Amino acid sequence: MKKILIVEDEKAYLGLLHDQLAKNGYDVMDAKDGEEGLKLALDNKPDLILLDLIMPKVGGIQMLKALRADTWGKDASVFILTNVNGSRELTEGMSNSVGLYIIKSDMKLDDLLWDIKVTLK
Amino acid sequence: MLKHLFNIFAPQKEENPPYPVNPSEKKLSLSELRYRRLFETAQDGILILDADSGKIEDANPYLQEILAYSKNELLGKHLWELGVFKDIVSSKEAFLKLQKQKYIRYKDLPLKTKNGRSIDAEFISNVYMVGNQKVIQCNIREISEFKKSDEKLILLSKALEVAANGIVITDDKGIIQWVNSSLTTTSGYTFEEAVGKSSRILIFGKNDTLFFRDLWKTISSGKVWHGELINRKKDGGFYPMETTITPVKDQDGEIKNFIAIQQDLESRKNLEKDLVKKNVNLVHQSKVQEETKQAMLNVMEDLEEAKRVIEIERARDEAMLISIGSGIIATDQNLRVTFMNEAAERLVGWKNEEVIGKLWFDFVPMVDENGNMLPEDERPIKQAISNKKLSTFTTPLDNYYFIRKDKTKFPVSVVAAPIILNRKVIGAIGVYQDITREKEIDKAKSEFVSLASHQLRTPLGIMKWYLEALENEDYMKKSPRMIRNYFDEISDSNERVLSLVRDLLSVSRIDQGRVKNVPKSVDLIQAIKEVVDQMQIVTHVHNITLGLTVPENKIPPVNIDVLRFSEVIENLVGNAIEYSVEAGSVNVTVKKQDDILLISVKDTGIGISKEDQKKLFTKFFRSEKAVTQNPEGSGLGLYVVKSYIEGWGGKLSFESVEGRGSTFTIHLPLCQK
Repeated sequence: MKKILIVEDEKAYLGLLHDQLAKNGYDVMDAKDGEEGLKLALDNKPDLILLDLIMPKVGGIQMLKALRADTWGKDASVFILTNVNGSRELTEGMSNSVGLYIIKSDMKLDDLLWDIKVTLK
Repeated sequence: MLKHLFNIFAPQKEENPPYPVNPSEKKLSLSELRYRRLFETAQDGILILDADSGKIEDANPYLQEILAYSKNELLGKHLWELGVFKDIVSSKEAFLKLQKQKYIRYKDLPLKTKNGRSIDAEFISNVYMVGNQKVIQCNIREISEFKKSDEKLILLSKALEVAANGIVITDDKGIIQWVNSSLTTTSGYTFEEAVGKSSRILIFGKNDTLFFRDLWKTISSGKVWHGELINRKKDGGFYPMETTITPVKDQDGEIKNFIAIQQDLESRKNLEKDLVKKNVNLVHQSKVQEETKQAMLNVMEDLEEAKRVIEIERARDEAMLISIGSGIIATDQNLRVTFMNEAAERLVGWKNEEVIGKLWFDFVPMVDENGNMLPEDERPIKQAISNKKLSTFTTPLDNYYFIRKDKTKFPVSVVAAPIILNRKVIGAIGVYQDITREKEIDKAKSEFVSLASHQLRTPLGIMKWYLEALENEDYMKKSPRMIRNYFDEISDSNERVLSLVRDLLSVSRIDQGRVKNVPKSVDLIQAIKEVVDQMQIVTHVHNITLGLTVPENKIPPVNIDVLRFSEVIENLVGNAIEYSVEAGSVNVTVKKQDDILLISVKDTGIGISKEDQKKLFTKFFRSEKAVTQNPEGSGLGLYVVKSYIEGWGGKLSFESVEGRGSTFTIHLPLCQK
């Protein structure tokens, strides 16, 4: 069973994604901020990390940097899920840039699930 | 010897005359005394000079009197030392001439006396020997009085000579002594023929004896006669003359002469007739003149009034220009400043007198947001002159700054207009405003919009996914149609708000200058094709025909952010469809014109009114018709489109006729940097 880590401070997003992914047969883990997310990621080495950018304590960019510094983390699959335009540039230039950059409010849930399915095949 | 002679002439010697002792000497002194008396009493000025030295040896009292010099002032002086003789002897050299010539006479010599009086004198000098000594004797006779009366006489006789009246002077017997030219002309006699003849033959030609006797009685008794005489011409003809005869008496009261003055009656009568006629004319003319004068006065008055009005208006205009809040300058066609108001002085820190007549650009540089100097050709005032039309940088987006005298800068809005006189550009007017505050407000607004949009997006995004998740549930799929319709309405509304927020965000990013281009080499035709294909799906709304025409030749790839480019095309085509009428058409045409790619989107829709065209690219502007047609638009699309295109160095133009349709054309330079 593929493992997916969701790092998202917004409870509503977290809950929905968790339900939908679990329903689609994934092993889903939740983290409410970057700090928790990084710990879970490094401990469990998920097949995909869905990462929000703006979060309390440790933000998405910060967590991504720390992740990329890790031997396993540098190649980990990451989708950025955010509502902030123009953040793409923030992650560019980092080694193993993210697989997908998703503006949540611009994307259909179905499409996201499809992309995840394709990525994890 | 001479010295001796003059010594005895000297007055001081006279008091104690050195009478000689022997008889011959006595004889001599007697004649000397006689001469001396003559010398002393002569009514001519006499001056004795030593011919060798030119010194004055003696001067008689009469000379002293007329020249106003005392004897002491004269004696022993050189002739040329006295101002009075400057005209004869102004130098020693001239004196030498006087010495050489034995006799010199100046008939009319103007002299100035010591007290400044001008006199006319006759000057005669003789040189002779007295013993073995040479002396010069000068006689000076004042002729001023003679000259005056002479001149007067000459003047009078001239006047008589040229008078229009005929004048005859006879002796007491009536024998003609003199006639003037007027009389000789009318009578035909010459002066020589007339003089010596009896006046009867000339001026009393046809008058009978009785008449003549009466006349003679009158004038010979010393009275003036006045009447009409018939003159006789030399050729026998007669002519009437109005005549006045005046007897002239001598000092003893004896009649010596008669003077007859005649006037041509004919001509006088004609003159009078003429005068009457002329008078009538004059009266008429003066009436006309009076009217003309009045008319002129009226015109003058009107002119004065017009001038006054113009002056007031000018003063008012000037006062307005000076006190208006915007900085205003005027330049001639060579960009030399001709006017600068107070607000402009405050804006740029330069004083009127510092910049008048100088090049504006030398004083106030214009830079962009990065501090790069704007080339002179791109400055609005230069463009206004070159292009003969208004040139403006007025929005906070036009990030241009003026540099003040103290090197500080401020964001400026510029409106520059050419001054056109007789179709020739004679200068330009620049209107400037410091838009620091506007920029701050705009920035604050953009930041607020940006923040608000992000905050809005999260709950909207959450709703979006939840609604979708719910929709996908079997429960929902099995629910009644009405429930599913309700659900769709919620979904649609949510999408609408999201779309609005998306537009708001785009705008706020543009306004904050945060739009980053991610250019890639792109086949534009392909990109346009893809957008048009996608848009076919929505044409069914109004049964629109959507067509695309591309050039046969390949267009070289362009470096451009393809996502944004597609967004632009989508937006324009979307608008064209949205604002189309039922069964209308939308045509996208791509053309290459030199190095510019023209992409036009033409519709047959509702069009845009003239009034609305002005505000078309204003944020949030939506025309009333557009709102009716599509209540969901945000009024941001065209603003975003225009901003993107301009960011690529292109421009967006449009033509539109209300009720007929619109054409939007993108002008995109093919050589993208």
